[in-house]
Amino acid sequence: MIDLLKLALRNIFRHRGRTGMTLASVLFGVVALILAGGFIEDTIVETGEAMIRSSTGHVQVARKGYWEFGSQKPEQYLIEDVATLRKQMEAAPDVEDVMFRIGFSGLLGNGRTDWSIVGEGVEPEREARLASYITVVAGRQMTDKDAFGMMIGAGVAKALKLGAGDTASLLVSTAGGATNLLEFEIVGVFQTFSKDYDARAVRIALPAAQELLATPGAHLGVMLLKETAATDAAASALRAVLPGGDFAIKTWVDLNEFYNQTVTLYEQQFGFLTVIIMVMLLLSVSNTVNIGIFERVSEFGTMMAIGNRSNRVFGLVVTESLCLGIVGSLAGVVIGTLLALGISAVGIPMPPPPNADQGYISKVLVVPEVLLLAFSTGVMAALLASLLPARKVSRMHIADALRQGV
Amino acid sequence: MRFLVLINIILRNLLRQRRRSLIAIFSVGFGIAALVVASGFIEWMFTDFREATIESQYAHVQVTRPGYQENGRADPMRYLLPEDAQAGALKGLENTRSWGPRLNFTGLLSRGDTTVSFVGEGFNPATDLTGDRSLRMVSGRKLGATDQAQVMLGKGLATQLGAKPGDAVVVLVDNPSSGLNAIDATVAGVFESVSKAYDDSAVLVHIEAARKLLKVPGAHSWLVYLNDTDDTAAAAADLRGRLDAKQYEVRTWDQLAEFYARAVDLFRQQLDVVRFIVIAIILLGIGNTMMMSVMERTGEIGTLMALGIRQSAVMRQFVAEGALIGILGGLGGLALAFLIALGVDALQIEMPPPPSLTRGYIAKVLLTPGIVAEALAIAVATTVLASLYPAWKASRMVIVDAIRQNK
Repeated sequence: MIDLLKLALRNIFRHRGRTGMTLASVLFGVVALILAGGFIEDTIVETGEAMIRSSTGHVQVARKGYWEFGSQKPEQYLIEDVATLRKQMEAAPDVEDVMFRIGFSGLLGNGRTDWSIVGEGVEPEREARLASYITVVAGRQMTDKDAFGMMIGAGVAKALKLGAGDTASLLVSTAGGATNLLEFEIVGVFQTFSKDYDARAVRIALPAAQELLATPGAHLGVMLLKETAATDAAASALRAVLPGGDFAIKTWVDLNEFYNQTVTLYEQQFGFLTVIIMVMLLLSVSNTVNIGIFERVSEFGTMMAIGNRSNRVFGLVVTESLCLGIVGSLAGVVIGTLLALGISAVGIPMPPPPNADQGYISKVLVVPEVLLLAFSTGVMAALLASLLPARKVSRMHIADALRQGV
Repeated sequence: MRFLVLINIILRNLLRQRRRSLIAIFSVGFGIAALVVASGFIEWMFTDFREATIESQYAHVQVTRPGYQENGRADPMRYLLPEDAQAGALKGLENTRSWGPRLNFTGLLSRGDTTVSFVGEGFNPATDLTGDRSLRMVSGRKLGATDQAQVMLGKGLATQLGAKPGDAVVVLVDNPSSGLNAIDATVAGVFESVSKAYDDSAVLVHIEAARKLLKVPGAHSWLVYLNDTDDTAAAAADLRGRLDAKQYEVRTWDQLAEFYARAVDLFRQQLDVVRFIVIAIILLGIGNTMMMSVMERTGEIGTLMALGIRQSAVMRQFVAEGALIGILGGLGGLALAFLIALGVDALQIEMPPPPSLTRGYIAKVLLTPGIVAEALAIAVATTVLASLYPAWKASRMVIVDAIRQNK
């Protein structure tokens, strides 16, 4: 075996040009897979973080049924004992902060016309800690002192021609069907990753919202974790503590259909790309391997003439190809990783996604699974490519083989 | 004649190394097929969403008061168009299927104790939103031409309100022109457009009901539907000629459908990546094959040149071999892509809805002349490019050394 390996390696180094070509083919395919896979992984991770850090947080708690029916009868799904729930949520592992929100729908008026909005009463300073993906495009961030301040989405600001410092009237219907009208001062205009959200979103301070809706409670408890990977652990810890009949718990993945659609789309695309690269790799490697083998038919004839068995010839050819595959794939993994790190350090400026206004800087993540997939694809391509030609040369008549190329 | 001889020699050379030529042609063919299928699939997706976007949201051309698209939402009553009778310019337009007025407003919608805010549009059910790909009814029916006391709700809004067809609702608006005004209505149906954000807040009512509610005549926009999307630019230009630019502004769907335009850019970029990979792999693979071919035939090349064949002729010979591989591979790839397209059609594969859209779609591969031409051009250009260096190498051989290789 060792003997075969040594022979195979010698053969590889004897034909520098051809070895170089095969290595280049394997290497290119492996690098392409690593870069494509890493880029797509980054897009997925980035999309997830954008969701978490601009609105949903990592884990949300609400009264059971709120997500399904809350918009019809919001007053029936209020969390009354906010302080106790806050303590329970803060006790979960890896929690950085916990904040409460109350939701409402209403009309925001600029004196000339109304705009239909989806509003939230929030705890401004805690939200500011969560919202690293929200940019304040005009005015300033709301603070806890802004009792009657309001932040509006960029789309709302554009539709109503409102800016920081303007006043706007907010009309909502309260529990029991009465309507309530309050004046607010716009302190800032924000922009998230989602244009659809910005076109409707309005945020006011929690106490003001409670006054507007004539209630002391809140609808949602939102948990911000130290890292996204801890989401499932925190959610299950919370499930263990909270009475199942009263509360429902959702993670950011459950809450964001957009994220799931994005993941599906990108996984399809990566699947397609992987198949293309694999087949192209297989074809291009098999061509090189083929040429290499048929050039050396007389050499294999000689080997068999001096008593080597045909399965030894078969083994030699396959081993050579396998070595090339392994070396090429290893080099591909190293170069791919280095390139990925290099590209990430520079960053690829991306145009805004279809539903956003802001472009972003994309990276190429180094993902262990993708490295493994790329490596095994390279090795498998080289191995598969050699099987048929190896079989063919090892089955040749010695005399015919010897006569070739003379 | 000389050309035929050249072709003859090339074909013989390719046939001499049958297996190698086949693999080379096959790898070009596969790469081209992959590229064509990817382009065709994306092309189909665009066509499908383009038509759905046009039919369910923007129509082909919109006529408004100048500045309405930018500033109209903040002060809608300043941008009212005159009554329908004055829309004469729209009627004489060629290739027009229909047109309809739209009146936009916002307000509150109540059903029992539940109240939600909405974005409403008054439209003429007889001529507007009538296309096959326009709104998809989730339940109930579309508004009829005389349904002035009925409304249609977007799917998301209907869920928020818990409303279904047949339910009684109250539509309330508060507007400087109308004051506080409300009408009672019945839900006729629940619809789904292409955009989820739209469906979450949309209410559609009869244009006459909207006019009554706002106490204004006229409309905010006139929507023009054409028979063929390709005529959009011509129709818009025609309209601009007929309407006074100081009073009217004409916009086409592609200026309005920002989401669509951005999605197109995104997918174009991704297609560029596939194209780059296919080109690179063909370059590498064919370059490799041609190099081998040159090395192997060193003795033969020496003999040729010793017989007086010029360097340029040797070079031409190898480049032409590469080009032929490209042509055969390209044609084979197209044939393969065509078969795949038929297969995809036959399988009726359902694709999930793309991010922030509501509808999935049936996968199809649309092979346009542009895609076919591009694929063939790439096949020939890359193979010729890949053979340049080997061919140059072959033509620069020193005759004596080359001949000596002949055993």
